[in-house]
Amino acid sequence: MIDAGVAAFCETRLALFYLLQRAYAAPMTPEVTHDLNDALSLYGELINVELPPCEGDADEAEFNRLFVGPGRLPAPPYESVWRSEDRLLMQAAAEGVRSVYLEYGVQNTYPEPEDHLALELEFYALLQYRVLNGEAPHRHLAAQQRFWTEHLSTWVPAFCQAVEESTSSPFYRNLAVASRRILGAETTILPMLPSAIPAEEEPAHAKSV
Amino acid sequence: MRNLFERAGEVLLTRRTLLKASAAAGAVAALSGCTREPAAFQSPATDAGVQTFRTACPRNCYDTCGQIATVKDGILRKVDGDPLHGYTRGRLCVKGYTYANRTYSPDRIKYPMVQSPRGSGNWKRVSWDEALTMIADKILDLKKRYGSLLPLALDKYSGNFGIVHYAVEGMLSSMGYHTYALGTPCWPAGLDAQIYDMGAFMNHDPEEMANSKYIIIWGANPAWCAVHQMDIIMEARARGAKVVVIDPIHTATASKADLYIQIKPSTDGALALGMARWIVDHNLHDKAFLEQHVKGWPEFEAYLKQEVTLEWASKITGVPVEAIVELAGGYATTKPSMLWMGYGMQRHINGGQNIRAIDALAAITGQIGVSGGGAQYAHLATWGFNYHAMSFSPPAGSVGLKGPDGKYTNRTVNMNNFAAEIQALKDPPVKMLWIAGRNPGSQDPDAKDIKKAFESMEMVVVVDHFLNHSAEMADIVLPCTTHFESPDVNVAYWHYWMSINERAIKPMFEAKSDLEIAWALSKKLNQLQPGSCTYPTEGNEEEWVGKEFNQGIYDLFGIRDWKALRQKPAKATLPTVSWADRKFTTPSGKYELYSDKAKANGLPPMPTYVREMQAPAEFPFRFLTPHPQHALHSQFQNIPYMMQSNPEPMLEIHPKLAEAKGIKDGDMVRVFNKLGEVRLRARLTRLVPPDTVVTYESWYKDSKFNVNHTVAAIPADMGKLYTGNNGISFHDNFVNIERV
Repeated sequence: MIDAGVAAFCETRLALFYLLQRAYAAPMTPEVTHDLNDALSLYGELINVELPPCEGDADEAEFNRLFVGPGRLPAPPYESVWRSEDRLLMQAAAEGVRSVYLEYGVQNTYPEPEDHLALELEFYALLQYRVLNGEAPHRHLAAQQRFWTEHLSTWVPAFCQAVEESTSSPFYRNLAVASRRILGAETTILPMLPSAIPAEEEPAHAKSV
Repeated sequence: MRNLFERAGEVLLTRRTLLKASAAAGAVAALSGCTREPAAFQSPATDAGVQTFRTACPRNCYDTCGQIATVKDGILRKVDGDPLHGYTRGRLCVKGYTYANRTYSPDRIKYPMVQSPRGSGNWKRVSWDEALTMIADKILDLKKRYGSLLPLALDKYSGNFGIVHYAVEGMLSSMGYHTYALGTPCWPAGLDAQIYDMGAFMNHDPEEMANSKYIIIWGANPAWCAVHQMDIIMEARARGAKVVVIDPIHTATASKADLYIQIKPSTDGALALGMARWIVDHNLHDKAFLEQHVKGWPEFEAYLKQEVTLEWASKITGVPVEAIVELAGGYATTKPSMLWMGYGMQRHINGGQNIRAIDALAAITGQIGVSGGGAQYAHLATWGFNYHAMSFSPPAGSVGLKGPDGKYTNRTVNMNNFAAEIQALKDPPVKMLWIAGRNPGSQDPDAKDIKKAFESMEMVVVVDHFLNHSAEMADIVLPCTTHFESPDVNVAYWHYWMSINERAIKPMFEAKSDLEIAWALSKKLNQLQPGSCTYPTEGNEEEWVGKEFNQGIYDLFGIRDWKALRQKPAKATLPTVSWADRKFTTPSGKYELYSDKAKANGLPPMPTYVREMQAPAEFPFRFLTPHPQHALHSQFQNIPYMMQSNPEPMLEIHPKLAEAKGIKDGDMVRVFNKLGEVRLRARLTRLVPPDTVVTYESWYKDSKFNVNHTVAAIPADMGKLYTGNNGISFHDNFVNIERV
């Protein structure tokens, strides 16, 4: 069994990543903002950011301006753009992400490249869910570590900084600060998790316990 | 950090909160499809290997290149020239090599989006269904209010010259009689000129230029704008041909020439007439040719002798008499000698007349119908497709403009005076614009008036790849596929080749082709009002490519099936030398130095001198805005590679003029006239004449730059005969300048 305290923390962390995924997948709603603030508060001083209420149409327009278009994007939410010399979609990073998804049996059916931030966050949350759910926890923990090192940590800080520098929306500025800190906290959290999770057991046995 | 877990454990995360959070996220998780269950994903094995596809550059360009798109794992890796395309010969231009970057630009329009208010930059993403419903509702509303679709205007032109893209015109026609922009800003004065002279425009196979011994490139810049022709010209030069460039600007092409002649813009006719006079005086004209194949030689000879002298020509053109002599002598004595006239030089109030005067040189010297000779301009001989994509009639009972025969028709506005004409129309007024393959926001004259015209609409829809100046002024933008994402077939207006354009990759985001948009809009219109659109509502895009072919095309290109084009491009089996039989298609059957048709159309019957536009006293400098190296009109310059090598537009000024105006290299300069102004950084160069300033038209990333703020919609002298409206005098643009 995972230690109860660790499990409770990991549940918060999971919720946070799902909500963060939601924040970059579509314009914000008051309900999701509320939940995200709840989850952020559980992280406490580690994040220390609260999101102001999102402002309906204005913040929807800002979400589009920053991440969707139709014009030039101040903060393209694609790993490939940040990691390729020519700042393009569908370069090596996008392929790398696609092959990781395939390795873990998921595929993208959204009309966006696989390295869209929302998809990367969702995949990362999925790996967390599998750990919590006792599905090959150490394998999925190692996958988290790898995905964080090879993908999320390589570009999200720069992306968040670009959002902070190019938006005048308090909501999106704070979201970017929160995102940067949430990702930053993983540096501390990830190395602690393996020891908190018991050695892998046979799935059948695990079920019977 | 054990603390962290302990503290987190102390915090009561209620089941309720977690469930709520997961539920909120779960809804999106389903949307994004990163599902938990191992889905039956398409095995990457099917496209693991490297695949190549034949594509065709569909841009408005002489070269219309055959391309090879290399795709691995569904991703476009690179784009090369097709080595089996006899004109492209395996190489592309600087623009063509950026295609993978262009396709994968994060700046592409990705989804249908709605802007409110128009021009605010306040965009909302909508689904295709929502966008099409808004559009269809407006179309049906206009039809109800005005009793016809004449309030809906189409402006579509050369953004993509693929044959299947005529689906845009087809879509509009299938809804009813509407208003559309008729004409072309590109080349029509020259087309009419050649029709008056020879009955049709038909250039030699341009690969044949290698046979010439004396090539005059008159107002074209192939080193930038037709790079494959440059290879052929250099091949001719290597075989001993002399290459002459006549241009107001010392272009990259001119730098490769044996002789460069800097001419005052729009005085090309006077130079040709001066040459003609010298040729006749030196008895170098081809009397047999003139006797047998030319109408109006005595009249024209009389004109030359009475009105034209070398000194006169020199004074008008700014070309020294010795240079005219060298040019005329070279042209008339080195055979075969070829003339190639560019399109820039006919964008003047006397542009068509100047083309006629240059054509006349070929007639006088008997260089028409000769290998390595001729007066080359353009052709459309390979465009005999079915145009199936635009073959559907308006719904029964549609009302339009009543023609003289009592039948209803579409209403046209002049593409070259679009802003003014759509605003002037009443009964019914124009209330909605559909813009596709066209960017009037940066390419039309009088940019301010275009903005006004857009603002006067109830709805503007723009279909494009990028948020250019037109799209910025739209209510709705629709994302369009690139040519790697939709199949098509392409031919050229210069070389004789045809290329298939295979779909190489899946469309990015929610981009649809013009054809798919036509199907989808028809479907929506018919849902809302059955019978309101005759266009098919679905189909297979590849099959629709096939529907464009007919036996005539097959015979012309010597193929049995269009699918054979997947193996290699095909070349039309046209004679490589046009007019070799000297059977001209003019009313007289001869080359017409004297054209009754021209006269009947209110034009000079002969290629006599028509004075160029004179600079008004307060705007003494000509502002030329020719085609750039890094872009094709408003396409390509926004791509990062181009922005790196050509980061900002510059105003090229002769040091003498700069000195007189107190302008130093790098200073910001205001270029202005009564219509508007453009601000640019100065680049001092002796490559431009002292009374002319130059910049290159383009749409730069993140820039309001637009060369057309000072350009008035002044018509060229010809164009109406073939294209319905006269061309446009882009280069009769007079300004003053000052340091900012």
